[in-house]
Amino acid sequence: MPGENTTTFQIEQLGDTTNGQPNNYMSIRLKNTSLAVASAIRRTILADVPTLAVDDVIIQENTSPIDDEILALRLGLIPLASGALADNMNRLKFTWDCDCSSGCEKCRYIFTVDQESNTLEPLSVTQDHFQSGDAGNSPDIDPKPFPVAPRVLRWREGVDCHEPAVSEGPIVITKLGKKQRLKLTCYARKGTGKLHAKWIPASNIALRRVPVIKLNPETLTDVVRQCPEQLEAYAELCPRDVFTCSIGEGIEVTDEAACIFCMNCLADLPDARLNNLVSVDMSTTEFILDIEGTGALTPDQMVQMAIRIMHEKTNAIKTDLLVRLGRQERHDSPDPDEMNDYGDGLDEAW
Amino acid sequence: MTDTTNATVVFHGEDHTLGNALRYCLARDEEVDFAGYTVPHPAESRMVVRIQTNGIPAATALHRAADTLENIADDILDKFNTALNDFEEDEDAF
Repeated sequence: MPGENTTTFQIEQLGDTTNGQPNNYMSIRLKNTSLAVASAIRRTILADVPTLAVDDVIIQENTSPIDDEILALRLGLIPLASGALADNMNRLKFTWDCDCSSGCEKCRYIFTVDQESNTLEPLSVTQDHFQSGDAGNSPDIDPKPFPVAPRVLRWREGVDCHEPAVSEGPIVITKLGKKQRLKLTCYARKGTGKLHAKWIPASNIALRRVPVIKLNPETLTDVVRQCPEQLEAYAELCPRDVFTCSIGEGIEVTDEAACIFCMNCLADLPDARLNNLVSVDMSTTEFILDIEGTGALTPDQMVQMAIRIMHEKTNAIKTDLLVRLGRQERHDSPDPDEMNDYGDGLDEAW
Repeated sequence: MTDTTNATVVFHGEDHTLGNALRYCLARDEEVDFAGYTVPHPAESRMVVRIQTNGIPAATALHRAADTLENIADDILDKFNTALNDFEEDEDAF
């Protein structure tokens, strides 16, 4: 039925807050929903959720071993905390939406870096040497953007979840030898993942269907009666430990969500009597969305912004449609160029 | 006399994100016989939706689908915020 929507969310895990920095991992379970809606959230985060990133670099002096171009590229990829956009995405404008001709405080944020080495020891210029050029920046941008420290998700053997984020120290931009100097001005701008990957707020975002694993009770009874010794080896076939085998009582599905659909439990079974013991299906209404952020935005901000963008887009379609229909009624013989975009412009599109 | 029950609508600057979601909403409408979308070329930022209804103007169906999607967006934002609050409350309880 149109208008009916039964989607519900269940937050499974939210990454730990480390060093007072925002969370950067979230696992959400979407229930009673459709792939279209779930995938729209994922794709909107990747392509349309705006963040800040260094977009223009003016290099005043660079005697470091790294070329200007490479420096600019590295600076662009440093995630900048974009929380200022989270509750109001228009707090900073897109450059092309701004009235100014060459950048103003409403559409860019300025950082400067000025470092010189005076020792023989190499000096690492890192994100910590970024200085916000407050004179040229709008005070409305709050919280202030700053370069976010890298947070590495550690995958530990035997631990079936992401460990809390661990900081690996500040991002090194270049190293300076004695008498070498780096002096530059960076213009950070609002952008989206559609334009360049440096604006994508998520470093990893995955949507997967929830596994539905069922034991066939009849086969299980037979197996327990005829060859119970096979069950332990059978449970071992699963690399994700979905099954738990208890002696005398058979086998149980204890960690359904861990399944990666490798189908080891269905193919090449050691005993023909184990056939049809288990069925593995994918749910069509339940999904798991794993979001791992770069630090620019927290995962919950990303989801909220993505949904708001979806709302804005559909609203724009409705408005545009009404405007176009109104215009169409006024035309006795519609302008063919305009009709290509709407209504009977069939020849054009198909 | 033009047939208003079918339409091909070209969306510039859109892709599968909106296309698939719109098609889903259109297909759920009982007055829509056919709804499909395509991105004709991956390098062109253009998405095409094709609608055939069983009587109502296709534009009405599209408007309704956009409205449905907008309602879904409103609804899931509320539900997400609720889930987030619930989760944080549970965390605080420990």
